Amino acid sequence: MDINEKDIEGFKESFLEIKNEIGKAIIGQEDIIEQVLIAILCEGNVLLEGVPGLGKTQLVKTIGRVLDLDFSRIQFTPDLMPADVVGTNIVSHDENGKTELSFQKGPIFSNIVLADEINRATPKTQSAMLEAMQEKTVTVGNNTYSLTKPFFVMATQNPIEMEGTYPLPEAQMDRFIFKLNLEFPNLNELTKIVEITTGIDTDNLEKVTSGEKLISMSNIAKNIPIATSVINYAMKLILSTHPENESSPEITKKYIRYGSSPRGAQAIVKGARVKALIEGRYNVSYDDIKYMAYPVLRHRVVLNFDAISENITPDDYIKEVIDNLEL
Amino acid sequence: MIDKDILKLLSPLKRKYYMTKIVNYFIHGIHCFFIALLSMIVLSKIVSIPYIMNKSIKLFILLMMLTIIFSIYKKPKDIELAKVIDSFGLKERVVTSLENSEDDTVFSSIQKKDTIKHLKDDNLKKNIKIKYPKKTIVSTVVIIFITIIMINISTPSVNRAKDIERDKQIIEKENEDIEKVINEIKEDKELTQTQKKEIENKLRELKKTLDKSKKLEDLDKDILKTKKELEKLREKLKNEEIERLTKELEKIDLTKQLSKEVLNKNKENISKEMKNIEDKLKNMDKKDLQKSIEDLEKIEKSIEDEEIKEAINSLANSLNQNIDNLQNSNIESDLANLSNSLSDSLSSGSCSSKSVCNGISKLEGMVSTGQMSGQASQNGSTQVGGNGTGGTGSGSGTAQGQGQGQGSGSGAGSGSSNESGNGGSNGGLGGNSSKTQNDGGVKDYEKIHAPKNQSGEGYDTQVSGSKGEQGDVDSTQVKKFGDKVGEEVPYNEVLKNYKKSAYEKINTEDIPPKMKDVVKKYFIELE
Repeated sequence: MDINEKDIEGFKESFLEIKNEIGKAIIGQEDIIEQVLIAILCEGNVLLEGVPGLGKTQLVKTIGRVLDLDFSRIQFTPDLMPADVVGTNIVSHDENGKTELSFQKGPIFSNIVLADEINRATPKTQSAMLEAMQEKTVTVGNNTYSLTKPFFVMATQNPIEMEGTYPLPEAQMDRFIFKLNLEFPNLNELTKIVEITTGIDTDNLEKVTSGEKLISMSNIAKNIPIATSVINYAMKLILSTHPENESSPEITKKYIRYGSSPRGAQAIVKGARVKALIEGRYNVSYDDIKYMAYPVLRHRVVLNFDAISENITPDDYIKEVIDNLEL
Repeated sequence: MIDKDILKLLSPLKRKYYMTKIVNYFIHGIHCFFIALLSMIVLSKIVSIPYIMNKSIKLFILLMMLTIIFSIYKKPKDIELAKVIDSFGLKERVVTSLENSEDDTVFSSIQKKDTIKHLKDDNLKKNIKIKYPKKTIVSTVVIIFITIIMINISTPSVNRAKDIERDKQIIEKENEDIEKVINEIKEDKELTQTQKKEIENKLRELKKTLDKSKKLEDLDKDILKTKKELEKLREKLKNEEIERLTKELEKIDLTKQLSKEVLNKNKENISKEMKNIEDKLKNMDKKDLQKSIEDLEKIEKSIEDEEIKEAINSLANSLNQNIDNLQNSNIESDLANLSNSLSDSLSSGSCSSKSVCNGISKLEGMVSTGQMSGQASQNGSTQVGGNGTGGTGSGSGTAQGQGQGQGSGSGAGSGSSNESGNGGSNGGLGGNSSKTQNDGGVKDYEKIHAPKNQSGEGYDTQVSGSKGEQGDVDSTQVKKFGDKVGEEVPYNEVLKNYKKSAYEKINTEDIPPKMKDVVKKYFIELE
């Protein structure tokens, strides 16, 4: 696929167009919208965490509409089975009356999948998502099915209702490129939300892009140059989250049980490349790395008991590490 | 092309950045210099470090040279500069462009164009400012302040260093003098080439010794040795001159006898012979007298000693003027004058070669300077000790005191005396010099009687009471029967000892500096 200067220069414009269109239906949460779009362009999956009613589902639905992509929603419950997610082989009869097993695709076969309240399903069902999220394929029986591109899973979970839930295992958490925390809207945003959602007016969302365009944008982002010093900085940041690393800061040794995986390093660089383009730049800067550190690392660093008892949040920890890390 | 454009835009920024770095390096270089200077000054309070100012200047030059070399070595690279410029809000654009300088893909190309656009901003150059290292500057000022205070603190080591400096200066001066003597000798027409060569070699050897030596005292031996060589040469030249003179005098009857007396160097007989000559002249007829005048004029022309030449000339003139009436003339004074001139030329101090005599007098001057410096810097000390315990009791007894005396010195010969014994000891004028003036072979001084304090071998001591386990032992030294306190020593030895004693006193006691000079001058004049 040929990429010319015009495509690269038009990246920011296309991105803003999508973002503005989504902004018509989602009031506030601009950073969340931006980060979700970055995740899509990085071909990653996002875990959204927030209390009910903050528009998590609405955001995913809106993205699906604006991007002109297939969208499906899976409501995770304790009795949800893997076959309910990926699909199953069923007995069917052809025109000649011959009986055969045919594969009935599950809701995962879509461009955008909303895994609502993912932590309510059993680990077995949660694990059914793993292959799809990482490999973009689904294996049922002896057959492996490729998912259509772009493929993007957006899972949500409620941080306050932990009873009867199955916290996501670390392996699955690591497959989410970002973990985004939805904050409660402020007064103006809340007023606007109420005005839009309680009236008779419906949103007039337009499809501003396509799957192909998204793939093209994704390819542009992959080619953005990054200086050695910047990439070294990102790697130092990842390494400094490991308590067993001698050069790690004191806060890591004190509060961290496990540091980020190499996927964290990949995610931070991927995200920073997209962020640079959004900023109208054609190279990655330290600030891009710093910006991406929060969504990338907050679910990849495992705090120990001391940190939890002292109310240290992952974001507090990440800020401290960034502040103390030399360029 | 784009890469060249980037480097072109970076060039003025690089120059300015380099300048700021150089300023910084020099500030640190100066800081290091003052630390080193302070350390050196502190050290000089404990250990003698002469020429500290010269050393400081050399150190400063060395550090500045190192700073320049360091500045050249640490010339900023493009990547370093790129990082600095990126820190002014260029968000790693420059460093990325430079790293991808060989890359000509569309992504690199667009990135580099973006970099060029941002590098054209005029404010970038203004952002590169000299960052003065405030802490370094403040600490440098503090160090300078401490250094000034330290410079004004005087310690024995500092004084010693000053002495060394003075000695060095004297040695340098002496070197110059020797060089002058060498030049004079070279130009001397009376000396043969071999003689010139020999003297020059001796003086060059002495010069080498001077260059190597650190203390003046060590030099005296060498100076005296060279002086002795020159004196030998002077004697040789003088003898040659006398020989020449006697030959000339022998040629005429009138002075035949005089030539013998001159050859014998007998001043008294020369004077008597003058009386004979006077008588002979007065008894001569006019014709003989005329011939004698002509002979005297011939002698005058053939000799080189100016004084004798003048005396003979004067005599010849007097004879010429009074040729008709010599009986009533007064030629005695001219003859006496000639006698004196001849006696002078025979005396030991007379000189036939000016350059050699100059050399000798300069070397003499050097020896006395060396002695003076040596004496001034020596501090003799005598430790007296002896505590014992003994019981009480009464009676009488005799105890034999033992002691050893030793001393060393050079030139003027002085040193320290170290004595030990059951009794006490009294410090003398200093230890005995192991070297005498005769070693140098300069002059045999007249021996005079010098009273001498007790030192060296012990004397009988009368002790009252008997020695016990407790109490102090009090002993008195007395001389043996028939012992003579004092001895016949050469004049220069006596002078040397008194001089040393006087110098010690003026160095240790509170005497006004001008009075010290008077004392020093007195001893120099005595020498």
